[in-house]
Amino acid sequence: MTSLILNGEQWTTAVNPTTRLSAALRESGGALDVKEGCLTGHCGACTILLDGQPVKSCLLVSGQAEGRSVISLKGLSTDPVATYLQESFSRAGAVQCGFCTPGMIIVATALVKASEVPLSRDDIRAGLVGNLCRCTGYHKIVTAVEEASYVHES
Amino acid sequence: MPEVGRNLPRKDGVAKISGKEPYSHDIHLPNMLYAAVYRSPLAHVRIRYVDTSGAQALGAICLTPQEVPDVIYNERIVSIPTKTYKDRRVLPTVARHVGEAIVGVAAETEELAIRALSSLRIDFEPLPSVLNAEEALKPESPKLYDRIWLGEKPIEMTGNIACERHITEGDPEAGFREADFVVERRYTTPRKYHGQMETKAAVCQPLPNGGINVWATVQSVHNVRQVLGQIYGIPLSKVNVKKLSIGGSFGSSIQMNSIIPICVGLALKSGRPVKLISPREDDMYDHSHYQTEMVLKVGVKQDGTFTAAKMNVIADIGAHHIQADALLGVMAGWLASLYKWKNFQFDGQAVYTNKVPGCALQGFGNPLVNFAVEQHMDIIAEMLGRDPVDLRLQNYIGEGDVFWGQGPSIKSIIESCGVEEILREGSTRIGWNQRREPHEKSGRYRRGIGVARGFHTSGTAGPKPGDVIDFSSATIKVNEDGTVDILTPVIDHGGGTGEAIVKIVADTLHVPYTMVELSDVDARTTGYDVATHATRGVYCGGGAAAHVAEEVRTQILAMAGRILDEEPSGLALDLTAERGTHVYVQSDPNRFVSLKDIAKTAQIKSWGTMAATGSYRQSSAPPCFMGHFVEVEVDTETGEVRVVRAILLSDAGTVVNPDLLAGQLIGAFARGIGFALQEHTQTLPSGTLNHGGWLTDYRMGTSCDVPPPDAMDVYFAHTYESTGPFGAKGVAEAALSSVWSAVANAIYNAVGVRVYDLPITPEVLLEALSAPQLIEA
Amino acid sequence: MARYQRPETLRQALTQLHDNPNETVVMAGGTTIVPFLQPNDDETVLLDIGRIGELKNLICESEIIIGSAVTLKEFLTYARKQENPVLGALYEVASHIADPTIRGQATVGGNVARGGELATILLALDAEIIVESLDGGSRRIHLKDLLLDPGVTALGHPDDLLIAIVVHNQKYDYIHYDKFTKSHLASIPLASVAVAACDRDIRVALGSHRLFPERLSLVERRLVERDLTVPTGWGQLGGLVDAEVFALTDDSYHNHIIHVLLERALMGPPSEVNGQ
Ligand SMILES: Cc1cc2nc3c(=O)[nH]c(=O)nc-3n(C[C@H](O)[C@H](O)[C@H](O)COP(=O)(O)OP(=O)(O)OC[C@H]3O[C@@H](n4cnc5c(N)ncnc54)[C@H](O)[C@@H]3O)c2cc1C
Ligand code: FES
Ligand code: FES
Repeated sequence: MTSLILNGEQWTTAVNPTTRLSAALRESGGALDVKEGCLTGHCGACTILLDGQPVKSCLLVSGQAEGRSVISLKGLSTDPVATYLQESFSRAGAVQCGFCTPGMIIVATALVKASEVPLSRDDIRAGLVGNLCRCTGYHKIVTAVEEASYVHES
Repeated sequence: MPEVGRNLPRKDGVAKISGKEPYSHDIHLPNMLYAAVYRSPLAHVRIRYVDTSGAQALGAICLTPQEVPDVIYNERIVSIPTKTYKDRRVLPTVARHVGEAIVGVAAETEELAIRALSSLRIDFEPLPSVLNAEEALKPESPKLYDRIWLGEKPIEMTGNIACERHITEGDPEAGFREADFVVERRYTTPRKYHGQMETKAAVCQPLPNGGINVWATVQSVHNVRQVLGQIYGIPLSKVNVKKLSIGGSFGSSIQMNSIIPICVGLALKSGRPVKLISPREDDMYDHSHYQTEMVLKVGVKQDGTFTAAKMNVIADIGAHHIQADALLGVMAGWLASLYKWKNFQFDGQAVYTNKVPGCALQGFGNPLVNFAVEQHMDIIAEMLGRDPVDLRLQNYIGEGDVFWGQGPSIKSIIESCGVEEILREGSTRIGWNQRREPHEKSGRYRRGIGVARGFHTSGTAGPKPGDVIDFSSATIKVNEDGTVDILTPVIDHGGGTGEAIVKIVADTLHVPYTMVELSDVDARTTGYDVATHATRGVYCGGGAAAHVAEEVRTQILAMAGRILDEEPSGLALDLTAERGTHVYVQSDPNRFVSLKDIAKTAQIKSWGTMAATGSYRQSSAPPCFMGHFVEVEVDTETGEVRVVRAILLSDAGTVVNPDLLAGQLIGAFARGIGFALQEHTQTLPSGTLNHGGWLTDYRMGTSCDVPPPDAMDVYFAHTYESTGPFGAKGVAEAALSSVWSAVANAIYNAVGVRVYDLPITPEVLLEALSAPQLIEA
Repeated sequence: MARYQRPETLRQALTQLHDNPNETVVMAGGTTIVPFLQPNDDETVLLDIGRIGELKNLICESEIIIGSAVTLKEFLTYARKQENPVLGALYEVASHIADPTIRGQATVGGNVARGGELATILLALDAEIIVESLDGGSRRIHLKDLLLDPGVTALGHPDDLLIAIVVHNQKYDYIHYDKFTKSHLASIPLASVAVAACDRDIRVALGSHRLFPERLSLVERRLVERDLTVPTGWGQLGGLVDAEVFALTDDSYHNHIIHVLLERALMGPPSEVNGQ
């Protein structure tokens, strides 16, 4: 049994506490917006917010999230930064196949919020380094985050 | 204002940015089992016996080689049946590469399925293996197959040559005699991994009537449907394959991926829905890009004209023949269609080895040939003391010339050509005139500028049917409120094919983009489309949609004629802000009826639905051209190469989705520099890959590896292809065609050392830098 | 499947380790453990030490003490505020380990225990570690005595837990860390070199993707007389470095890179960009 707060709601799952968190979220928690691309921590598709911090949910077992807040992209539907990022991703053409997108937006949301000044392109590139995108070459993703960061700080 | 050419939000954009777009990974059916696959630990083994009792004791359902239909098939349908080689079964009795699937198991949970795998007992008989093409060609070498099939015809194998192609035009020998210089070099390209973010997955639901529903990672719903029907002997009317978004592919699902029929077999056996997701490691053992060795010989006159070209190719295709015959044909075509060689010879052999099967990767052999030819162009230019851009301009195949990129059976006359614009614009933007020679540079860090140009075909169609199947289909209907539904089988890899088709239909029917939607479809509700490959999505898929939309337009005018009591020939369809989409009387524009009213009236009066279904084959396969100008910085101390600037120039005809086109060019460039500088899948002597599933050595570019946004510049040539929908051609694969050639040429310009083997890793470059240099030519 | 335990206190953790030393796998962040969990492994007990308050210390006095369960991100947040040169050097290293999300989960202790990049710089700083077990009690060990073999956590007792890392808060004349990775895709670098010098005391440590980091004692002895802030001829050192490094790896490129990193570390910044 593992209990945690999933997207703001108390959630208890019967999965073994050593089941990787991403699998628990997808299979039992219905959080299909958490993608799994590698299960080794390299791609970032499975990124979630754990107590507000971005982490790769394939690198955690469910027990590690016990009693903590887990937020997937769905849980950010009213978050102003995430919502703005979603729009800027869409406007900038930062979405191709879209498989990396949920993880990217989660990381970008945390990145934008953590900074008190508008992020530079280099800051953004460094901030996204743990999230692979094979389609876009990152350029338009960086532009989208830059725009959101600028709007957030001003 | 037309919708074609505008930047508009993706149709699947909201779903994708909110994580709600379903991929095959996300399909979940009640009462579903989870499957896993046991893969061969050895490069070549006969499977004598599989003991599944342990797995069954855990409640797992197992599918063994003995239980699958004894049907030999090719997992990719593209060539006509008599040109299709066949060598594989769903599960083999002889596994021919490490990682080849041998047994499938399905159980209540993923965990139980993996437990079941480890309780299988398999009796193997190890067979000798051969891991490189050169070895495989030796007579004494172990053979992978005793027999394969070409169509219905058996071929008894005497060695490991899967197929050969020999294509000659003119008199190459005479051409070489005429030449003032003959330049010959050997180039190699390695095995590479597609690295699509979504690993292959399938969900299969068996139906009470004996049929199946399949959700899987595919580039063509129809091909997968047909191959599954053939294997399991199910009529196609009972095989349905759903169209879904895919998490990238880059060619890796051009064939039906090996897990799909395993998943189906497990579902049929268990009578329950089954889901099978490839872990990343399995995915790396499922597909790879062909490894090639190319020897290119070119004869040239002092004035820079060519007299002959000859290329010898040995393609290491791995353990299965996924259309290597087509590969050799197009490699010949790419070569023949780049420059005016006058006389031409191509000799290619595709060779089986005990490695992961090779398949297409963005460009299907085109970037490989380009790597040889575009380096050759620079070598020749230097030898003749010519500017590399000028030499290209002198010899390129362009407007009015014959293009046969897709092989000798698919020829078209080039009608639109942006090569000159690309080369001139690129030269200006990169500052080509300021380029200095390698010997003028010194110091630890050295910069160099390089150019390469390439192309790809837009589809594989043409006036006459060739060896390759190419047509597409669409169904378009006008709903009762004047909105429009499109049912297209064309899969969007993410590049925006779907949006392009919507724009094309919207503009044909003068309906706003926002009022046209792509329906959820499957193989059952759509006509045939061969696949989203060969850069044919917009040109062929969009072409078919435009064609069908024309029919709908005729119906709209006819219905409007009944309402307005006018001959349809006197009516016109238009879109304005005040009236929306409407039909008006040409002689009296004040008389009009809106599309909404036409559709509603047609319903109320029981006239019927304005809709059409059709198929269409394009009459040409026009090249979309590409150019890359790249500046690199080489660290001569470590051998590292950094791309510091790049100009990406494309000629896609009319640009349908500007932002997505730019995205395609940049994305392909990012992958291209990865392939140029670091990516390759090496097979160890044991037959295993050296990077068992990512943790260690397969390095794909991150946001910090690609050049920063400010360092990249994108340019679209101004051309119009009258055979394409609204003047459009393709672009997708072209975008990769010349990336690594340009990088290699730039490295040469920086340090005066040419590397003929990809990837140009720091180790390789450092070794080349310290080796005594052979004098060019 | 593996079992899971998350003790609240150090004592509970030590007791579990003591009672089941063979089955228990200490999990701090878990970044190197979770990907390798096998569903059919029913023996292992994962001992999640991630929430034990006693392992979360961060102290900067005459000694700098970093609790083993402090995440890299927590460490970075702390170190940035301190304006301490030793912490500053550690900050530089930690801020380039893996990627930002992994740094939010990976711990300092986990990195040191598996010979990660922090271990390399900490070796050069001659750090000590505090280990504790129920039988052995709490002890201090020099880090260089801990890192024995690749893959082997050479803690003194099988049930030893790494409690904290201790670094002397002293003044250094020179601290340098440099690494070589083939791409930014998060992974252990091909090679990394750390140098710390204070008066006559010069320590050089070498890390790599294949080996546990180690001190290059031959090189160190030779360097004792040298002022590292002044570039000197590499020639006299080169042969010596080779002798010591060639013993570590037989891959010639790897060797070359180590050479380059050492040269940079011991001879000052590289020359400028040249050529167009
Ligand atoms: C994608 C990826 C990228 C990475 N990139 C880098 C990199 O760039 N540089 C780098 O150095 N490392 C890298 N690593 C390795 C690793 O993540 C880090 O070294 C990390 O700091 C390990 O910390 P952890 O808390 O996750 O350790 P864990 O995985 O929890 O543990 C690591 C090992 O140490 C043992 N252990 C942990 N804590 C203790 C303790 N208190 N007492 C006794 N034993 C203990 C564990 O039993 C285990 O054997 C990477 C890993 C991944 C997955
Ligand atoms: S699935 Fe977690 S990082 Fe790739
Ligand atoms: S959009 Fe396909 S991986 Fe990023």
